[in-house]
Amino acid sequence: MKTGTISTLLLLIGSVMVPLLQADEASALKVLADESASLHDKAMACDELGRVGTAKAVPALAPLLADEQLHDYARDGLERIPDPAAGKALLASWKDLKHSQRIGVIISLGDRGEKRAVPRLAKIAKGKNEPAAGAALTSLAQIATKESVEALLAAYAEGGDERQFAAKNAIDLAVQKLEQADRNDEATELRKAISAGKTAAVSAGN
Amino acid sequence: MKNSRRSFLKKGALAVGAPMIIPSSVLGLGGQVAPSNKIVLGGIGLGGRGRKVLERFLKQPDVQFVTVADPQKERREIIQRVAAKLYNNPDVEPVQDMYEVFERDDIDSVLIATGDRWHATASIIAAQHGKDVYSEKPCSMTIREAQELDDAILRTERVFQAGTQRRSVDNFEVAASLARSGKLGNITAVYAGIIKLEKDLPWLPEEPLPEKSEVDWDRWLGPAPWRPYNKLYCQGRWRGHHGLATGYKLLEWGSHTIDLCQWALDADGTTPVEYEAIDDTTVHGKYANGVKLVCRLAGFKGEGDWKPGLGSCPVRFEGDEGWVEAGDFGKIEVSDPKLLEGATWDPEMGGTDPLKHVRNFLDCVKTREKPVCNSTVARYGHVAGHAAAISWKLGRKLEFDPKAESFVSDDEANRMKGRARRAPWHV
Repeated sequence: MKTGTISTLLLLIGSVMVPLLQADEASALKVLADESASLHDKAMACDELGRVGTAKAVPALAPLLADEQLHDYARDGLERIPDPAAGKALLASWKDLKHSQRIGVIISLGDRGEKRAVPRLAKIAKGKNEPAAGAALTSLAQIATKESVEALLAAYAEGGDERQFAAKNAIDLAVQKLEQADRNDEATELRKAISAGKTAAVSAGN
Repeated sequence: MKNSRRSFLKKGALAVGAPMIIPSSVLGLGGQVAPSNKIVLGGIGLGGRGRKVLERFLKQPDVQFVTVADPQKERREIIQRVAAKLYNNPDVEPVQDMYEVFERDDIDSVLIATGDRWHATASIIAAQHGKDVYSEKPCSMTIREAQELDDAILRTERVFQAGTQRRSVDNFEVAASLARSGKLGNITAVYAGIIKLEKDLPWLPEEPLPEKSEVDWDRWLGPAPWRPYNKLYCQGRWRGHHGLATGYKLLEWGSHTIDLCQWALDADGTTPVEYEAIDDTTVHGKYANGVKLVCRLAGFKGEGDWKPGLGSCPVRFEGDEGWVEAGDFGKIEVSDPKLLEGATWDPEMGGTDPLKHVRNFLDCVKTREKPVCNSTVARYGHVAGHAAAISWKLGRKLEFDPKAESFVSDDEANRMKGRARRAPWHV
């Protein structure tokens, strides 16, 4: 009722959307700050922040990336906040996270299209850890910049069987993304490159 | 997703193992299936509904069912027994990890009938491993998943059938044909039966985790966000829970009935441009050409403003010269009996029966044609359902651009189009 009253008042003064969003964000942040709030309520607050959160929500969500139970919810919240601060927080969280949590962050960086993450993702895509590399390859495909595509091709050319399987799937995804964005020349180039790469890999295998 | 463990370079090679049944995929060119061969099928997460669909698959002489994956031991063993009894095949192998199915080179197709949370993710991973897919509905948890699923199926050139089987049920086919034939005049409104919309339920109380060999909770959750274990989730009580089910119950029936409305309107490549929830029982939509989509309450006990005795999942197609209604009991009601002159249908065929739908999928696996509820059909029908549900959740009218598949000038609604998958699952 309180929120509804405030909303009506704001409607009257002709400024609806932003105050409404702030009102929801404020209550969700309050839940996250409340030590007595249940795990469930905190999870739902993260979801709420994914819908309406701004840069203000980032400092509250970022520490939860390392939380065993709330990690998924915090990451989802950050993934959906368009403010660049959310992407920065995901990138900065790396050192504090466990392995599976890092894979989650890799996935979110790709879903957000975080171009700043490409060098790190490229390194992971060539690393020894297969699950992390697979996630990084998909994220590089989602980002689909010149640099990320080069990283995909490098992983494809240099990887073993399992890595090549993941890289081929990622390259196909990147081609589709490029075509959907009307970047047809780049898509064609990538198709050509993969054809050449595939031939080389098969020859090497023989 | 995690990467395939099988050898990528050896993928599709006859040298892998020595299957008892020659996989049809290796006998065709470019992934095409030679028509005379059996289709080798694996099952993923088959519960009550999954068993019913599987039984229809098992009736087909050109299907060989070989394995089922389920994180619950009890359920996979039930399927093993069902197959042994119905199919006289004691050799169906139950496994815990669905990757063991996807990575088998002798398997052509998979039937996915997990809970909602897994449908799209498992379908996409299966397609990436070269499998054709029949997936139960709703086929996506979010608008973004509906897009990802269709994109993946197109990218991998797989055959996909959504388990919205009413397109393959006689009386619904007749009703949709009437709408498309012009005999009802210009269509002005289509009505999709739904159950009452409800808020997400709170988590169930935490219980001790069972042995992983009995229930692998991590795999059961899959791409859904973590929550504490409670055995009731695994017994079907996942419905209505955030991240486990979708659409605040609108897509329970809406994935079927909105799909039928799209079909009746020849609107498979688009969606309404406007959504407005009236209350917990009614959501209005409007297509660009002005035709109304009305999602409104129906129920197992005849709830809602429908002709009596139609059964569950009713639809109504209304033109300026007449109307037709159909439901799961095989009946058709029309404004004028003359509309049905020359029409034939089997009134005994219930709306939940997937027999013809399964057959359509299998035929398409062989011909590589698109099934009646292919991934693109499912994409737009599900996008419409998700958008209607988001309108209800936000309690406001939303404009939608079907080409961009985005809400117009509504950041909050657009941020509800997708949700992060739990690691390590990605597509």
